[in-house]
Amino acid sequence: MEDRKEFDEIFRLYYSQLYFFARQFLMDTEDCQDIVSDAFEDVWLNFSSIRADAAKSFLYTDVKRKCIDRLRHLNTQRQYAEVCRKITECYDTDDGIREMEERERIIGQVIDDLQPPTTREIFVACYVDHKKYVSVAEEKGISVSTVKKHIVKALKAIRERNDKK
Amino acid sequence: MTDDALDIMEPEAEISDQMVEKLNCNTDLAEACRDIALAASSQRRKQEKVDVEARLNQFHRRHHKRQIIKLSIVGIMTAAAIFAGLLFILKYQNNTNQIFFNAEDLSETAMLTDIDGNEIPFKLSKNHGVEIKVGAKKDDASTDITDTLKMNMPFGKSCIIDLPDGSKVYLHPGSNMVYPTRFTGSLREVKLYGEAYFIIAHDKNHPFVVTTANSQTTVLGTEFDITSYHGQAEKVTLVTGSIKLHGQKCNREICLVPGQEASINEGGGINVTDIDTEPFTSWRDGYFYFDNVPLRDILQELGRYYNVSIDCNSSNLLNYRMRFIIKRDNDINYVVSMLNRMKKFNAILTDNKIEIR
Repeated sequence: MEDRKEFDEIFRLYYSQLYFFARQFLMDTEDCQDIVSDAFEDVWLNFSSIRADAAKSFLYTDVKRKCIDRLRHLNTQRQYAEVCRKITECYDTDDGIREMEERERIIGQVIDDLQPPTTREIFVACYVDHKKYVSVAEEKGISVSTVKKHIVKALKAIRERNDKK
Repeated sequence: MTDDALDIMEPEAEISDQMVEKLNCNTDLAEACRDIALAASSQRRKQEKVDVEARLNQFHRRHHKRQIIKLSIVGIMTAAAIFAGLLFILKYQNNTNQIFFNAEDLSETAMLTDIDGNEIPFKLSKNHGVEIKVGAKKDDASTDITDTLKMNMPFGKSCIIDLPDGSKVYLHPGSNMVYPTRFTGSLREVKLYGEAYFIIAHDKNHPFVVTTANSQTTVLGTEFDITSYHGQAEKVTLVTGSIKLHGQKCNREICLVPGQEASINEGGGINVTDIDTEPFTSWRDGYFYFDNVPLRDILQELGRYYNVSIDCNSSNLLNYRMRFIIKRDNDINYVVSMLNRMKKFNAILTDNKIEIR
């Protein structure tokens, strides 16, 4: 197939972006891999009718739709699917996607630079390792409200950085 | 506000409807939640590695296999003819029924008329022969005259109406809407028969009111769908924001939150259920979206949209529940060929009629 080369290029360019996008909402790594592969399957089958420059937003929209579908089928709380729909609103346009990518990069730096490092550790334990605040508090031997204080501090640092921009 | 964000984003959090509503209304809260999600994502990238090359190889291996299976079953099907965004899941349900949908006389055209029934010419920008976009009649700056217009869409035609306040209305086939050339007074009022998807420009001082046979829906700025055909329960579905619905027969007023659908039955009773809004937003985005929908309903919608009659002699088929997603700008031949790819029945298109066997 002639398009194979172009397709592979798009795959390499966007695969991990889309994978981590899906991972924001789905805990299961295999689910995320399947969803992203399926989205590329849609692009592959539809290749003649998708312009190369439109592939990115097509993929994001597709992955987003599939994630929300998946959440609904997983019997997760309906409200959680709603939250995801709201949070992903800005991924509808190329500009929106680009803006979110840039924002993630900046926020990533802010989190890396947090002092003391405990704040970052707590943040990661809660949102990357998916632990409830109360279990993180137990592990660290601190109170739940202290855990929350650390997170609020991280959010404040992010906000300050965003405002500066 | 930050506390709310923490509550929403906590792993396995119990999120209440009120919280979802708050999130929908409060942009700062949504931003804070987004920040947490993005921050987590940035840290996740460091922990988890993705082997893109391995995934790419896997993709082509799997795809190659699928392709061979498809080719051997279907025979001659070129890759170009294979459409994506299209998935079928078939479930069988026991029941018997038949369907007839009769196409309208093809001579009927989309028509815009003023209050006296005089026809007003309007520009059609043809979009794949089926959809047309109608520009709002521009205000004549020199006059203050407000006309009332009626846009009538026969089966086989649909359009997007730009209202003078910047709102958009996606009018479905077999529907009509009465609206003014400009909104004056404290309310923005339109009348609807049939189905339409509304994206209403926000204006808290001028509520937007849609009147149908059985109800009045009042909004400030939001997205929602209304279906009101003869002989069918009237339905109001909210996608974002909030709306107030007044049922005329029961004289009752209810508020809907996003993802809810109010159904008004013959007796005037209102029933509210949670539903998937995807079919409605997909229509807005140019797709037919049927998920776990009986073939009967799918065919009826296709019949309305393309103005083709539907004829089905085999009784059980109509109750097959299936998933069928396809772009609306495809022509009817293509849609029928996609239906046939399920191999559950044979759909034959002849002279504006689809026969299902």
